[in-house]
Amino acid sequence: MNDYIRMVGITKVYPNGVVANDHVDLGIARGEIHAIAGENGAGKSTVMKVLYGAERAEGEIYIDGEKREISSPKAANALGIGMVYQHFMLVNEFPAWQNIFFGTELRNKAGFLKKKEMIARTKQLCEQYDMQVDPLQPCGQMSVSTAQKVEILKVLARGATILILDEPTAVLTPQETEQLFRQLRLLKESGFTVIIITHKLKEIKQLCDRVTIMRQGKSVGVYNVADVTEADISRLMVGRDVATRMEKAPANPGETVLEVQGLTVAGPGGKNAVDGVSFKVRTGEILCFAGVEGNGQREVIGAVSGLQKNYTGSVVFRGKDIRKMKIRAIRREGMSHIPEDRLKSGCDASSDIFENLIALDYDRNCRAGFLKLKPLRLRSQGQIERFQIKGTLKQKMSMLSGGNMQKVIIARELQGDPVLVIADQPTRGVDVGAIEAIHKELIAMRDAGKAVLLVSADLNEVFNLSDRILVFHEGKITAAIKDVGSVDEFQLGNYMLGIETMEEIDA
Amino acid sequence: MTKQDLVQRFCGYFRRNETKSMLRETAKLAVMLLISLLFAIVVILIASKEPGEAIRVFLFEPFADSYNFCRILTESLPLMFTGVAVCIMMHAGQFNMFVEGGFFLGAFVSAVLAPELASESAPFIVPFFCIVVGATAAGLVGYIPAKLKSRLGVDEFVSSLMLNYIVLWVVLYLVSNVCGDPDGVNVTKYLEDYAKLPFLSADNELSMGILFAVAAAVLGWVFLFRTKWGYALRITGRNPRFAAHCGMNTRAVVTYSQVIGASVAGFGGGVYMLGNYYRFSWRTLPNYGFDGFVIAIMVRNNPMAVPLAALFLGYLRVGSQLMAQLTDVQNEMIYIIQGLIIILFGAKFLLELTLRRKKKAEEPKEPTAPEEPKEAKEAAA
Repeated sequence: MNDYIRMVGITKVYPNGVVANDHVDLGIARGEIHAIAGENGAGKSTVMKVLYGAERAEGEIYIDGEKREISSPKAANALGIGMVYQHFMLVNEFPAWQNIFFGTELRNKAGFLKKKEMIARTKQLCEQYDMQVDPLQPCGQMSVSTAQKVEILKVLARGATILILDEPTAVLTPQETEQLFRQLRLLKESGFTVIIITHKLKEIKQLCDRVTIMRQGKSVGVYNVADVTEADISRLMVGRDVATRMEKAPANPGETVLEVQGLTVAGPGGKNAVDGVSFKVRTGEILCFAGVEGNGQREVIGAVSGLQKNYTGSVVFRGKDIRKMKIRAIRREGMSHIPEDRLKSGCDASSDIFENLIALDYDRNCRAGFLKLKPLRLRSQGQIERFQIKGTLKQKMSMLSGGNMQKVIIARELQGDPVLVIADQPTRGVDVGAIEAIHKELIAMRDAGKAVLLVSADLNEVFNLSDRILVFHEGKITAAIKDVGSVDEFQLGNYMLGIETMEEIDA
Repeated sequence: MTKQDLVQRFCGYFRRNETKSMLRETAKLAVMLLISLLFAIVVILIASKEPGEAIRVFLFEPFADSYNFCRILTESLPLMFTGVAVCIMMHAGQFNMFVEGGFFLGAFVSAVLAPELASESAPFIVPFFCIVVGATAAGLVGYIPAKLKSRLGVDEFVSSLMLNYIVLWVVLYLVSNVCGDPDGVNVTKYLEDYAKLPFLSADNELSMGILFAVAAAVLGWVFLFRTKWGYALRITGRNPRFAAHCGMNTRAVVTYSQVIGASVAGFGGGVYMLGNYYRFSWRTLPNYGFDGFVIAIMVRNNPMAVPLAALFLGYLRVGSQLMAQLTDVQNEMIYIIQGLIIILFGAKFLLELTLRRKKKAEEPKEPTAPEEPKEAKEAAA
């Protein structure tokens, strides 16, 4: 085959013994958009890092028929390969142009930076690739999608003709995703080769020409996207059929456990991030906050979970005012919270699985201050088995894939009979198999008579799980949908974008 | 339990993964120590006119007789206490320098109290009580930077460093003006034998304090890894946001970790004073607190390994003292070696990477326990 890039027999074993890639073969044609699909931990990122020179592995890489040793990202850059990581590599304090030319600054003969030229060049790049970026804006102040554009421009400025994007849409709203895809197609038309790592089936269908599917460190096959359906890809990824629609019984709502009245949170720039929001959460139902990110959901969750006390209005949980309670007391009262930020708030990556699993109730499993290690270990082992976490008690969290990490967090938060479960983007960046497992757990919680408050930007998830939907737009609730079956994605999208607003909102 | 059971249990212990990784750690530590010894020898070769003799004295004289050997134990005693104190605070992410002042204060308080309270009828109890009071005093003063940090966010490094000097000068004032020995100059009252900790071996001037030091290491480990307070402390030190999210009282951790650290240091000061001195005569800070950081870096904040590292430093010190007495090499050489050790352990991270890579080349299929390069980095920083 006349592949532009050919990777043969890539094998990568991490120091902890995890086999990330097991004799992976990969072929990418010139000028195509190629998806690398697979569950979390399937080895997609690793094989691309090998191509980018960020990881060393056994095996051979051919570019345009010639065998190449890619020992560092610098070497990859020289071959025209550029990569945009999932977590951006930007200096937040630097403006866009400085980030774009970081390490490849244009200098005059005396060694001084040619600032004007670099800014001009940045503008030119923006125009050339139809990306709107203010060259002088510091990257820390940019929205995620703009920062991503800066990342892409950075790669392009280095003369890359092969672009690798690691889960580029994980952090984007549907609109931004659409925009990104437009830009990627534009790049393809101008002759670039684009590789995207993803596990979103829809996006593969929408965007890509071909797809390589990986499972458990191996390549399962290459397909023309036109020849396979979403269900095919999904089956190949997990090795079994995944129900895209969850089966669940009708909700059976009971008493109100959480009541929010006139909640208002000040936002940046004098605007209210949350503006007089009121709602109730009842036992036995899944209430979902839908909406484009940044429309106040985060602030509401901050106030409800007791982490953020700077608000007006009232938040009452089981008859008690949250504002007057410490986090520990709130949790004792039966609130559990799966946070949006998995790595910073959700777990401690440098501790092991066991230490993460016991973080909520370690102090209730003590005798005279000494941890009861044996029963705790036994319980944690049970959780690992029940949630099918791929790891051992002593394994560091940082060694786990995103999906397994999230399973550990959820196992911890669902332990100990909570009354209300707040699940903030519980399946973001998680593989298909784990998503299914997490959804099942949340529904099981509901069926057991718990209240579930779900925040999700994933419409599929919203429709699959919720019994009731509140749509957020610019800090207000624009719609309260009681019969989830009665609306479609289009209608929901209108509410999310503020195009339509329900007249009577009974939340 | 039969003998066979015991043997089996013993062997089983060595097959456990935890033990394996501990043994591996120890082996790495040994390599580091050998390298630093080699450095020491190079330094001696440069500094001495009779290097052969100097090296012999440095390496072997500490083991030549039981007196010298007990000096190693005595030299390492203060390092064990301050090492444990630093380990505890480092686990909480607190870079508190009051170990130094706490040690000093503990020594002073117990030296002042012991002659007043001691009586021949209660030889052990009273000195022990004085040491506890000294530790409490150190803990109370250590509460100042701790509370400043947890309440107002004042950087504990700066405030505790400054506090050391406040404590130093206040103590010196008290010694010369308030509670000094009227018959002496700038010293406290003479400590009778019954006012001191009993000797394990009077001939070798080895006090029983060394037992306390080892106990402190074990208790420090138990506290950190087996109690709920230690658990909250470690989690808070690693990721305060996560700890807060789980409802842990992170402010309390910041406070109690530093108070406990200061108390352990103060206890060590008291033990050292009432074990090995006849009166308090220090005019400067003794530096044992700062040495505690060297120890903590060497053992990667694991209190259980502190005695070993302290013994090694103690051995180097006795060796160099003897060398200074018997040959032409100056005692200060030991600080060059100590500096090299710190640099070496800072670079340990690199060494680890090399070892790991080599190991993988040898046995590619065998999964090994995950390493902790991040901690090594932190320790170096």
